[in-house]
Amino acid sequence: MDGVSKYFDAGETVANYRLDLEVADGEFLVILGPSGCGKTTALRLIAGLETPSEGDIYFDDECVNRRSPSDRNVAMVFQNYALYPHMSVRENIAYPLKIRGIPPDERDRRIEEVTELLHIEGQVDKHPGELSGGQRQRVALARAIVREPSVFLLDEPLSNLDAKLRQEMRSELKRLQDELDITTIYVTHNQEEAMSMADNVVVMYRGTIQQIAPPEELYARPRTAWVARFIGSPPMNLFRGTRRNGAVDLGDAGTVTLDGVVGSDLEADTAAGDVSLGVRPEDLFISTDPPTDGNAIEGTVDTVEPLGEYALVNVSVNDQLVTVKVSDAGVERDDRVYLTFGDDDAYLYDENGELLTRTASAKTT
Amino acid sequence: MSLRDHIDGLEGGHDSTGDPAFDREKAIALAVFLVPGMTLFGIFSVGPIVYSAVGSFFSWDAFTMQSFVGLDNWFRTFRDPLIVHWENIRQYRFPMGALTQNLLWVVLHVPISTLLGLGMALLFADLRGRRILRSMVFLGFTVPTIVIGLVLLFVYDPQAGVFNELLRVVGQGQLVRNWTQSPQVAIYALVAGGIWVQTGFNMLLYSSALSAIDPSLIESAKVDGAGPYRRFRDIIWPLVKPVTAVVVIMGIIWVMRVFDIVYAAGGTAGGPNHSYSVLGIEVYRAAFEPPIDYGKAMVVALVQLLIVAPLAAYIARMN
Amino acid sequence: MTEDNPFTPTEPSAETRAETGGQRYTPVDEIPDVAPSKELDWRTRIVAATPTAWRVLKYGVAIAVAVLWIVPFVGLFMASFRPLGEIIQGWWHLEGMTVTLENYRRAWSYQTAPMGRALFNTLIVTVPSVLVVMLLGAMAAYPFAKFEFPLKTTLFFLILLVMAAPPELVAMGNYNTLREIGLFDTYMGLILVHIGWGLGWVVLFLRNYLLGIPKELEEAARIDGASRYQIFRTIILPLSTPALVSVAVIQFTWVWNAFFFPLVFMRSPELYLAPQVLPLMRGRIQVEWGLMAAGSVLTMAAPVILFLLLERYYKRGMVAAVAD
Repeated sequence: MDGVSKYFDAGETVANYRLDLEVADGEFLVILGPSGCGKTTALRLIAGLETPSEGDIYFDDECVNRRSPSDRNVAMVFQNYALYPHMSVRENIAYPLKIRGIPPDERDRRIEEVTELLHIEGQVDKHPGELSGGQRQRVALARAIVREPSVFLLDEPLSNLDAKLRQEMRSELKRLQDELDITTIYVTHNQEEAMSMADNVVVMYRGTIQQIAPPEELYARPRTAWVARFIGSPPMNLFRGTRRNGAVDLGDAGTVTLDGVVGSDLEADTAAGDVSLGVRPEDLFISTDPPTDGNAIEGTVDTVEPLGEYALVNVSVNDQLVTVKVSDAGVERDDRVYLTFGDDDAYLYDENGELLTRTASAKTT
Repeated sequence: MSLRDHIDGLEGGHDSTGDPAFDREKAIALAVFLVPGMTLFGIFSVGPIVYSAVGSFFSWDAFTMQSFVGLDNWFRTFRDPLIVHWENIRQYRFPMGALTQNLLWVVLHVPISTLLGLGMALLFADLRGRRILRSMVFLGFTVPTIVIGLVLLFVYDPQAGVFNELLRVVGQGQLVRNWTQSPQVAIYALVAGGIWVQTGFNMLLYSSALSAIDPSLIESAKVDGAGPYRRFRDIIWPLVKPVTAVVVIMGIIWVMRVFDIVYAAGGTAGGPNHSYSVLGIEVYRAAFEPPIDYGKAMVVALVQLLIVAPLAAYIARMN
Repeated sequence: MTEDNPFTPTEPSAETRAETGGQRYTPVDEIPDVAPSKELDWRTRIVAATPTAWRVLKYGVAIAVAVLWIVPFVGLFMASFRPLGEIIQGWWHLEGMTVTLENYRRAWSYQTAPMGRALFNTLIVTVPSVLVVMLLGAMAAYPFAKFEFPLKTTLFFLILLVMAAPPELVAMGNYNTLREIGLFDTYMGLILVHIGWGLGWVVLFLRNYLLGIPKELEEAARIDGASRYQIFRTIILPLSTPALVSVAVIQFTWVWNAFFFPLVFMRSPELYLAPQVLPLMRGRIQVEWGLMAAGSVLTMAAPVILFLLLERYYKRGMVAAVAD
């Protein structure tokens, strides 16, 4: 395949609503979202297990809406692996090849290759029931890879593994994808998996795409308040306030001027309305004295959670609980504190939760 | 009661579990739970079976056991043309004897009803309203079998029977006859009736086996490129195969016990000139219609069990 | 400058933007709650609403098969409401159909053994046979599932043996037993035979069900100070309700439908059970179809209604009973 992109546009009211998505060749794309957001449906649409009720799906420049899964040359790893329980590991891996009428010698050669790649050479004669979760996972991967599909679809493949195995498989999957260079679409609700493996992450929420971006950008520049809260742990703090005169009024907690804030838009300095000011816990600093310059938000310490490497301080600001991540707490309950942050680390969202972007022209002014 | 003795006797032997008072309490509890049910079970089920097994080696004066005669009853029974009629078997003419007819019934009934049951389970599997369709097919299995027999009588009646009407409609009027009373074809007519009833049951078993298959397996096979036929051959069939053993064995047990249908159609004689008698009918006639021959009745009933017992043991082994 | 700005989101290629009208992300608020009615002309709609030919064929065959399967019962039902003359012409002829309850009236007060009485007898035998089997079966199943005791394997084997045995095999022994204890030709005698016969499968069935109840529940009750009997009554019995319902439905159907046992053990016409009466209704020369049909409908009504009402339990029980 060359010079190809897949154009995907499907609409299905409850599950997916008007998705526009493009996947480049050899890309590792992760669809990330909470459960029930329609990400699995999106994957099944691509696989051809569902037909779109509206819109079209293209592989290369060809519309595949009406094509059956078997004609799409996709391989899929299911959440529960879907290994055929009555076949041995070898038969499982051989099955897609057998269906495609690949001669036995070729089959054996490819099985050997793929089992070596996945370190399951020793298990080929066992039945799926005798394998551990991690091994089953590898067999499912092997069965998908052995086909040499044009698209590789994975539906929450790691969710049934324990934490340690999951981490191991994560790096292994990444390695495999790099080596094989197969276009991969990976569905997960685990943001760590998404961030660590993806070239691009698609964040989905209630059936729509919230943002498509590489992991770093997703973190550094969440497009909506929802994505902001979803990505990062602990989640981003959102201070509710009213915007007026180029500043955000946070009530008793003080006022934040928007001069240098990332999300502010100088043009609209006169704009007013309810907004949320977002700052990540790790970008907030805490001090007991009011700072001499810059923005500060006033609050009271509610609880301190020391976690060894760092501590989380929960500060009550206008009845809102705000989390601050600090290396050393140094404060106690009921202390009066001031939260400061760099202007570049703050984001401003309008009442719809959309990021207010600074236009390029605004920057130069 | 021997059970209670046994348990009480073992009371002291369980020192390893510790407190002997605990064991006593357990033994009493066991007895309370088991004895009432197992006593009735022993008296009215196990006892009569043992009685028949023993009695088959004795001579009988009506209902009273006389003297030990060894295998006499057994030899006599197998030489009886009512059980196996060698001459007619050679000429393939009914009556061939109840045992032969019963086995012929098995040979026809079991494979056909199994295939039909599987076919219907597959056919109904993903249709809307499948519950209603399944219930319609299964309905016959809930109806008293004596009614089934009478319904067959009705269906095959030369005037009032819908089957003969069907023959007339398709232009096969010369075949019209009273099917259940024609010695050479009646058994096939009744076998068809048996299949009609049992298909519903087999369908039910296959349906539940099919719905137990993880749908992602089928989807996975679809993605792997398997068409409907391959999906059935490679995935569905191997996964419902264990149920087939159950279906086949239950079918055999059902046919070996068949009684009501034959009784309804042909009375205690098992049709004109016993032409479709089965083993159950022979037991009844030998035991409860003069001349009473308890010895033969017991032998025939034991034959019924012996044919089925290894199969039942096979099912038990499977679990 | 814009290119260098790390805060400018990666935008889709201009081409894609154009195709989607420049609207890249759909805000959550814009998702409708129901599928938008597509703006299509009626022709497209009809095409979309028409299932594929293959599916139509499948439905056609499925419905045809299901209907074929109940045709004999439809005939029986029709015949029960029509005079003999019309039945002989064929119940499928609907023109000039006379609907009459005469057949039911005659069946209800049939001279040899009135159906009304026979149905009452059947109920008298069936209800205790079901209830006692449920109770004793559950009691016996409990130790089978949860305790080790001597002779367990032997008993287990005997249960399997009885389940494989034909009812004819126990008829001779029970005949002599009932004569001996004076219960021959009585309700009690038949009830006892049914209980003894049904216990085998019920114990096995309930045992398999009880095996699935987690041990922790009993242990918790034990720590709370419950005795074995209390555990059985307050934990085991309530938890096995679904299985007990299945047992009740299936055992009821079997006992109600049973023909062979009543035939052997009930000899006085006033004690005849309903299935026993039906073959008598055949008549001598001309089969009394209407009478027989009415009697059959009356007899099968109870199990069929029970099946339709408790279909779920019936089917589940059937599958579990034989699949184990």
